[in-house]
Amino acid sequence: MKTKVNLKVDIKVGIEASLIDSDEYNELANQAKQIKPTGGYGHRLESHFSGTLPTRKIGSGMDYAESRVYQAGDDPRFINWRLTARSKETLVKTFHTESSPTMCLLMDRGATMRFGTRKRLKVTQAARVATLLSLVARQNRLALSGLILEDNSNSNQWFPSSKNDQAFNSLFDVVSGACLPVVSNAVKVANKTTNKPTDQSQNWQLVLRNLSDKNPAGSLIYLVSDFLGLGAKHQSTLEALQAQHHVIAIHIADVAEQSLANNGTLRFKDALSNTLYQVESGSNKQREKFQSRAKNHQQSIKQLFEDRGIPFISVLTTDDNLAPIIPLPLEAL
Amino acid sequence: MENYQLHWLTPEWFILLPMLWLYLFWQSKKQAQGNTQNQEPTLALAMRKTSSFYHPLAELFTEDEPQKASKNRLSLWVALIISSLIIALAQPILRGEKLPDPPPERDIVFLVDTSISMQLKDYQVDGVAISRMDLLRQLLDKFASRMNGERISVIIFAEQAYKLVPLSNDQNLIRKMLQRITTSLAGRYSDIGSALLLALQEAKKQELQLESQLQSKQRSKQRQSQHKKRHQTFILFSDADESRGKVDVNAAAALLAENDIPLFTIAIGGSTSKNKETEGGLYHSVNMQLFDDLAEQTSAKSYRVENSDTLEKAINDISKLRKNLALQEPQYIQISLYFYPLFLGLLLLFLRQLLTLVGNKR
Repeated sequence: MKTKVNLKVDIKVGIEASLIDSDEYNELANQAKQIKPTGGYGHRLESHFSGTLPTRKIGSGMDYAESRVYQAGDDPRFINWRLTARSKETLVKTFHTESSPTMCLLMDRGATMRFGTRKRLKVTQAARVATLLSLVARQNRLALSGLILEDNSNSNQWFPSSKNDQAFNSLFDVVSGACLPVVSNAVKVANKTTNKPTDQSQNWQLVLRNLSDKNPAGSLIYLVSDFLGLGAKHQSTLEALQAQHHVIAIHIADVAEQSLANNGTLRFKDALSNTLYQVESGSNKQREKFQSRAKNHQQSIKQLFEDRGIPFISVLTTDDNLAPIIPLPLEAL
Repeated sequence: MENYQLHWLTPEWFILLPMLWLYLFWQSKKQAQGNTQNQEPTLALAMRKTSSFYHPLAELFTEDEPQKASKNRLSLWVALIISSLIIALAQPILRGEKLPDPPPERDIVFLVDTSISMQLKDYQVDGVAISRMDLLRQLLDKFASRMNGERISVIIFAEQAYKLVPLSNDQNLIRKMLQRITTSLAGRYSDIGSALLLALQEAKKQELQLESQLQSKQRSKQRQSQHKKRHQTFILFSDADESRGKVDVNAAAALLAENDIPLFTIAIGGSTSKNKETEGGLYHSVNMQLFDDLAEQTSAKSYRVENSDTLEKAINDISKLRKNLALQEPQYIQISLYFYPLFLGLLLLFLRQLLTLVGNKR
């Protein structure tokens, strides 16, 4: 199946350039072809009426699954007369249900994602993952919806579930749009900007509820983020989301978030609070302490998802080939 | 060691100590404010901290209490090291007994006539006729050697007056320079008035320089007054019969008298041309009246070089004049102590580096 590509050529350079250029897009399109849905289906239906994807679920459909003993209430039209004659038991035909599932992408473009020390920023890697997944969705005729998470909850953008190319392009434009550097709160105040960032914890709460409510039940939801701001208070919301949908968490991280290089005295500024921290990176003890804390931090995020039965996949900013990392578990739908 | 007292040669460095401690106090306050959570930095701070980087997990760098303590220890180390170095810069010494002052000295200015008439051979030594200038050079050499320990300056004059040697204690220099004096070095005829004015100007300059030096060194008032009144003595060696030139010699002498400067005059040459070799030139005799008048005006004496007694008389009279205090700071027996705080500072610095290295390797 050919994927119609209607990519805009972005001539902007520097910090205003798109996160994904045409070469990167083509590379991702090639990687998308390598991602096969897990589950191994017999064939794909061409009909667009009842659903595009065969499922293992038994129900109304046109793909014969098996015959079973007639039970009260079964539609007599589906009695398998030949088998009934041979087995001397009344048997009825059952069919695989055909569904039209939705893939939903949540992409985090917040302040903490605008960080990277190797190859690319976290937000660029997140844009690559989101683009790859949207291409996979088109390949597999899945409806695609999207939610772009920004620092300010009012700036979050929702893209309703759709299969047409225009909706795909709109989502791609936002996903790959330029991501300007973080402006400190002090500068915002000086510029008389009133657009203050929302508390990330509240924003996540809001977003998870939106994902749960706005997507049709049973959707495949990918959360692409560094999950900073997500914590124990979101456990119940995540459980509710996972109960209605199939959620996959893709954690985007940079090497500098796992270990600290020996670069002498460094001053770091927290992207959310602007608090300054001075670190002696020349000290083995300090580096080991940071590594240990960073590991615990990532472990706690992983635990948060895995305890709720949500698969947790970690992607580094240095990972070029995403195809082997990103799963497409359509059998779960 | 009982008589020794602790003194500081450059105590002005101590002004850095309170500044250092204030700076460290301000730094510790600033760090405490910087570590406060949820504090929005001001725009100025944001602009100044250009070398800071955003880090999504920056909050993991939050320091715990032991690290804060180590930061305080670091400030203490820095304070101790810099304090030690400041103490070394202030140059502590142990001051003992005062060394004796150098002997007092006189400031004597030789005004030497080099006019053309100085080549007249008026004198005979061992039957050989010698010129006035040859005799004068011998005379000056003896004079200078007898004036050992005094400060001597030499001004030569004829039509013009020039300073040949400034006031100096260096006997060798003065005697060598005196041997270089020849006739006609500064013109043909004698202008005594200009020479006296130049000598007076030099004396005034010396006075002003001394005054500014004393003010800058802030000596005691008593010592300042003693040095301020340095007396100079002018000795004129000439064969002039009259002073030619723009400056009236009597007016110049009056100025000297006004400034309390005695002018001893030593006349060279005969009073008549009888039996004298004129080397083809016109003979002119020395005008003793002029010399007597000049000396009298300035409360000094005049002499005429006739035999070796003249020199003795002149030296005896000059020796009776009051001496000046030597231009030298009082000297003490002292022992330098700066290397103790310097060594302590360097030792602390070395220990600090060593501890940092050990800490980093852990």
